[in-house]
Amino acid sequence: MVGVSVSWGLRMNWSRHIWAWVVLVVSVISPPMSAIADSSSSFVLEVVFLDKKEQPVSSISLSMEELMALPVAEFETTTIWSEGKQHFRGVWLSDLMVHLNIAEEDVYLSALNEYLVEFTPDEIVPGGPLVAYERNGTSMSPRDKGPLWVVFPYDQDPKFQTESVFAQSIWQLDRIEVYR
Amino acid sequence: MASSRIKARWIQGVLLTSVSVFALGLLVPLWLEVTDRLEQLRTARSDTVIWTVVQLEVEYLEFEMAARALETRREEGLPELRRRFNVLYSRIGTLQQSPLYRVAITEAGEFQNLGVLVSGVEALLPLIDGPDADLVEKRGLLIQQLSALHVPTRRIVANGNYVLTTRAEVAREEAAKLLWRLGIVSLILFSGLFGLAALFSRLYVIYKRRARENLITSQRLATVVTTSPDAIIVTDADGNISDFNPAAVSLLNYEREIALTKRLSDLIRDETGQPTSLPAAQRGFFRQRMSGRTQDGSSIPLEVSQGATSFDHQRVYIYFLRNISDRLNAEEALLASRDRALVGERAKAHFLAVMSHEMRTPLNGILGVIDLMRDSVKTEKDSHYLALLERSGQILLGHVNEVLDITEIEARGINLNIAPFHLDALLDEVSASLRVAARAKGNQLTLTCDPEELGHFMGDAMRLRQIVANLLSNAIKFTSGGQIDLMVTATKTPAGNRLEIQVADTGIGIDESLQGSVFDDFVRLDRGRASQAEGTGLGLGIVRRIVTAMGGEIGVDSMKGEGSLFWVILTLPVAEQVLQTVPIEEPEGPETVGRPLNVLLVEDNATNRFVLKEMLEQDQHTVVEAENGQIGAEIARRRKFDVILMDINMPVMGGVQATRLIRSDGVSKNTRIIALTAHVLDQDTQLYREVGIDRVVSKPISRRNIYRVLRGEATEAEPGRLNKTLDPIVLEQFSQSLSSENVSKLLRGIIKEGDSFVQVFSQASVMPRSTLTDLVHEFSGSCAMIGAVRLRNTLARLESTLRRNSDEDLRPWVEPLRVLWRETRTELHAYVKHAGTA
Repeated sequence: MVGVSVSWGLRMNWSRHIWAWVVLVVSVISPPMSAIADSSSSFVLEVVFLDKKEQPVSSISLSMEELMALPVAEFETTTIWSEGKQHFRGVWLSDLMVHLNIAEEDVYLSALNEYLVEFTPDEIVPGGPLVAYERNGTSMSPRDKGPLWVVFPYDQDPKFQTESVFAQSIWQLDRIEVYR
Repeated sequence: MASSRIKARWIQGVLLTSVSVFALGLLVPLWLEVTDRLEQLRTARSDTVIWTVVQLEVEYLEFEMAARALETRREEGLPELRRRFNVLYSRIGTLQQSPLYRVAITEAGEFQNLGVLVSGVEALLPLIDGPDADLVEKRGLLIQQLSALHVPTRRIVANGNYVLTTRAEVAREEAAKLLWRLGIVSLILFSGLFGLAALFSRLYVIYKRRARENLITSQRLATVVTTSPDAIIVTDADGNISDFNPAAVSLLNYEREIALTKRLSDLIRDETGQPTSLPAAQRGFFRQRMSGRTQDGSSIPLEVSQGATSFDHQRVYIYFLRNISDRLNAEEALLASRDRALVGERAKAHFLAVMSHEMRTPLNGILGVIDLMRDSVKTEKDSHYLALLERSGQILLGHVNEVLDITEIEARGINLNIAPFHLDALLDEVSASLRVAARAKGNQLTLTCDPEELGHFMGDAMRLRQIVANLLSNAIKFTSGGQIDLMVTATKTPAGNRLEIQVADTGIGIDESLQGSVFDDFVRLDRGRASQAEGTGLGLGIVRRIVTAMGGEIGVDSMKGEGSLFWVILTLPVAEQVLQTVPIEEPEGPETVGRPLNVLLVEDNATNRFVLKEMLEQDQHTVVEAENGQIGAEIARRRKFDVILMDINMPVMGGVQATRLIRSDGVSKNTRIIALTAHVLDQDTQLYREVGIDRVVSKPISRRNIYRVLRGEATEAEPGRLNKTLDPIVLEQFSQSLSSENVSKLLRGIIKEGDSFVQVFSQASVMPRSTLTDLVHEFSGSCAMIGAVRLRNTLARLESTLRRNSDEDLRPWVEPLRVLWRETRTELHAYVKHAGTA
């Protein structure tokens, strides 16, 4: 919610100052409030930047709302883990990388069960991996491969029907690691 | 042979092609299957399923671990516990939802266990989602419930793992098998193709070799054609010239390019220059004389051979031309030299005839006068002179005869005149005639025959007489006061009768060294004490030739001083019938003639005429002379005579023509005509008979002969049998042997035959000679059968003329034959009518 209002404010020049005040006030108040609020406004994805010695340097945490604020993408496909056609809605991993200013580095995605998978920059393209937060119109619970599942439009191209792609279809995504 | 190899190759080719096609047919579905399988493999709808299944156990254990950690960590361990639960729950959910995993687990037989697992974690939901304190407190229960799920989990993992592993193996094996099959079929296909390639390369080699061989052959043939000395022309079925070799160019003087535009009939005409129809439609090879036309229009005589063959279903004609000018010239030269030889022959014969006539006629005169003088000689001395004269004259005549004889034999060989004769009579005659000479030298001449009656034989009586006379006179010559025996034995053999004639003498004999050469010409043996050498030495030579001509043998046995034995062996067939009896020489004595006759003497030689006249008048005959045939015929037609003595060779008109005239008309039409001739040739005898001469006597004529001849016809001369148109005796015999209706049928048939013969013969000039000769022969035979003597004789003469001289001009024969036939026909017709009414 905050993210949305910030972007709105940034767009309008003449009311920037006003909106900046409002944001400041709200952002001061919201952290404790979000702590009391339900888990839906908690962080779902942590992006950690590490140095060559594998020491964390910085991190960014993203909430579901933030993710949902990014450009939306969706497609329909069958998967080997489900029956029948599934509708996925989310954000292209490429768009996420753009948002995070990650361009040249390999990224490592890991899941709740410490499953780890690597993506190279040329694999991260629009039309390729999608960070899905909605399946068939509803969000996914952790008990159903949620909240975030990286899926590919398998039906669209045989190149998405390989073992390596299936392996990259990480579910229960919670963490992205980048080495700089 | 090569073609059968080619055939074998073709069969192989077909085989290999069908194998390849078959392999291709198998290959296509295989390729499709492989492509399919590859697609499948590429787009594996399988995750690392095994890993996923195994992960189940890991996540289960981690959850269990988190649950046990609650013991020490209490609430702090709850997020971790809940997280682990979510993972496990999600995992189980995936296994259940995904068709891929569900099927795999079901195959492994663990579907029930999966259900157990699902219901197990569902059962934990209230606890996990409940208050934290509750969860911590009930951790024991949690673990307990959890451990119940351990076994199913293990089971699923183990069995699922196993199934999935074997599945992978099977898939691999199937892929391997598929590739294997693909490999095999590809191999077959490639083998087939390779085989085809090898085959084609073999075929290529064969065809190349064949082409080369053909090239060599055709080159060789082309060389043959080009270098052939004979002109070779090849045409198509219409005669258009398609090939013209260099020899043809030089033969016909045509340039090759021009010749190729021509047709064969432009270049080749038939012998007379008329266009031909070449190619001839004859099958096979033929050869003919034709003439070729050169480019400048002149003609060349050619021998043209045509051969034909088919090529590509088209007939091709091949002609070989040979210039036969040389050959024709040679033929002409040959013909010319043959004609010259014939002319020379004829000249020789003519010479002989003339010479014999010229020599014998004066001799005849001498001997005739001597004969006359005998009666008027009075004194002993004159008689002696006369005898000497006569003897010399006779000897001279004998020599002349011998020389002429041998000349004639040398010129024309011995022509044996085969006729039946009575051998006994002949021998008697000869021995009788020489007995006088024998006795003159004091020799005894005997004749012995075994069997005593030898009988009649077929042979040349005159020549046989010559043999015996010659041998006997030799014996007389070389024997004095001795014995001369003529011994004749006849033995029957299958071929006829073997005659052995032996003349033995007790004379001076022949020296052994000379015995071999006695039969050579001009060999005369010394007779020792004899003062005169008599004889030309030709006698035995002539005898030898005669014996050889008769197919016999001759030889001599002799002992010098003791004597000689000359032997002759001949085989003569026995005579079937006897037509004429040979007149036997009467012993000497005064001759009486019978009643006086009116004689017409036609003879050109005055001396001879005189002699004969004297002889005849001494016998009380009346003689009228005529010095040639014309005068004689004139006289004979106006005046009737009892006998006409007609010389043959006379100027103005000869005896033959005169006889014809006399016989055709006049009062002496049926008078007996006796021909006198200096030379008797066989052919002429026929002629004489045919014109109506009844008898032929050779000159010189002795008185004795005259008497003999005249005596035969004491009565009114009947028309001789030889003069008849139809011989009634023959006819009688003929009609007696058949029924009367057959006779008239046959005679009518012969009348028809005769009519047609005369008709045909008038066209004689256009008939081939052989056909004509056969025709004449046939008709002659028919005439002989019914006794049409005159016609038959004429036809016989015509036949022998035709056989002798095929170029004889037949036109003079046409009219006489027609006349003869008309006369014969009339008589035949009359006979038939008469016989019919009889």
